[in-house]
Amino acid sequence: MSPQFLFILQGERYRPLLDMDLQMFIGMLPNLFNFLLTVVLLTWLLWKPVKKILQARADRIENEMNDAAVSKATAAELKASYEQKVREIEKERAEILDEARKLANESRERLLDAAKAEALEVKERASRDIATELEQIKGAVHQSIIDISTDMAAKLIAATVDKAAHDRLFSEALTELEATTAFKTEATHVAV
Amino acid sequence: MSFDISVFYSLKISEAVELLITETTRNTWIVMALLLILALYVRIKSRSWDPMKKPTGFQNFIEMCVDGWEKFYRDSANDTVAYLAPWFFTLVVFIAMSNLIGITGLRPPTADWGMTFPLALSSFFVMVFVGLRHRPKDYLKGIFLEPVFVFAPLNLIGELAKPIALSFRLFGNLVGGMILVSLLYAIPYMFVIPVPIHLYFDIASGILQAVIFTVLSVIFAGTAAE
Repeated sequence: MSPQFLFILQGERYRPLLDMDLQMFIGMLPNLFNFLLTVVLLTWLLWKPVKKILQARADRIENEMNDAAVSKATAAELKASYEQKVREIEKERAEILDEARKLANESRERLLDAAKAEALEVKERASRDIATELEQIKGAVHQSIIDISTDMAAKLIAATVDKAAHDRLFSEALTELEATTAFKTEATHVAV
Repeated sequence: MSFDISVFYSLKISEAVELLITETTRNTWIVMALLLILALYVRIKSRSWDPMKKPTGFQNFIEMCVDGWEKFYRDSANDTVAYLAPWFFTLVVFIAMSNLIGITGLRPPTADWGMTFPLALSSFFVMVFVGLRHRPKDYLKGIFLEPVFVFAPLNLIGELAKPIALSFRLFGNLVGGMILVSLLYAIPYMFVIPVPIHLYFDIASGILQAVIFTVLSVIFAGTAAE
C-alpha cells in the first residue's frame, strides 16, 4: 500500500455513496475500530489527566472548606469561651462593686456615727463647761454683790443709823439681794 | 459531478468482499491524528499544570471543555452512567472535528453512512449495555412486555430504529451540506458567496449536528439506565 493516497484527493475507483451491501458493512469495521481507538486514546491522554487535575483541585477546595469549617468551629468555641469569661468578669466586677459599695456604706455609717458621737460629746462637754462657768460667775457675782452691799451698808450705817437700825437695814438688804440673784440664775439656765 | 467515495486501496478478503481504504478512512485518520496531537499536547502540558494554582489560557480552555461537558452530561443523563462521560466526550469531539474538517476541502468522514452508522451503532450498544447493566429486568420488560407482549416486535423495531435514525440524520445533514456547497462552487465566478455557506454548513451546522447526535445518544443511554 503506497502512502501516496494520503496526499491525493481522488482515488482511482469509487464506492457508491449509499450502497447497502455486505461490502459497505465490512467497510464499516475499520471506521468503528478507528472510533473505538480514538475513545481509548482520548480518554487516556486527555480526559484522565484533566480529570485528575480537576479532582485534585476539587479535593483541595474541599479540604480548605473543611479546614475553614474547623477553624470556624474553633473560632466559635473561642468566642463562646471569651464571652463566658467576659460574663464572669462582669459578674465579678458587679460583685466587687457591690462589696465596695457595701463597705463604703458601712464605713460612712461608722464615720457618721463616730462624728455624731463626737459632736454629742463635744456638745455635752461644752454644756458642762458652760454650766461650770455659770456657776463660777454666779458665785463671783454673788460674792461681789455681797461685798459691795456690805461696804455700802457699812458706810451708810456709819453715817446715819444706829446699831438697831443698822441691823434691820442689813437684813432687809440681804433678803432683797438674794431674791434678785435667784431670778438671774434661772434666766441664765433658760438661755443655755 | 460525483459524490461517491474515493477508494485508495483495497484488500481482497474473498471473491465478493474487499476491505477498502476510502477517503472516509483516510480523513478519519487525519481527524484522529489531529485529536491525538491535541491529546498528547494536553498530556505533556498537564504534567506541569499545578492543580493548586488558578488555571489560565490553554489549561483553562481544556478544563472548561472537560468539566463543562461532564456537567452537561450529568444534567442530561444521570449519575449512574457518569462513567460513560469520556465515551460521549470523545463522540462529540470526534464528530465535531470530522464535520469541521470540511473547511479544508477534504470530505468530512461523517458525510459517509459507513462512518455515521458505526458511530450510531456504538451508541446503540452503549444504550443496550447500560440498560442490561443497571436494570436488566425492567429494560427487557420494557422492550418485550410493554404495554403487552404483542407489541414486542414494534418495540424492537423502535429500538433498532434509533441507531438508523441517528446515523441518517447526521449523514443526511453532512451530505446535504456538502452537495449544496459543491453545487455552489460549480457555478461560475462563485468563489466569494460560499464563504458564509461554509460558515453555516461546515462550522455552525457541523457543531450543531455533533451536539445533536451526542445529546440524543446520551438521552438514550440515560433513559435506558433509569
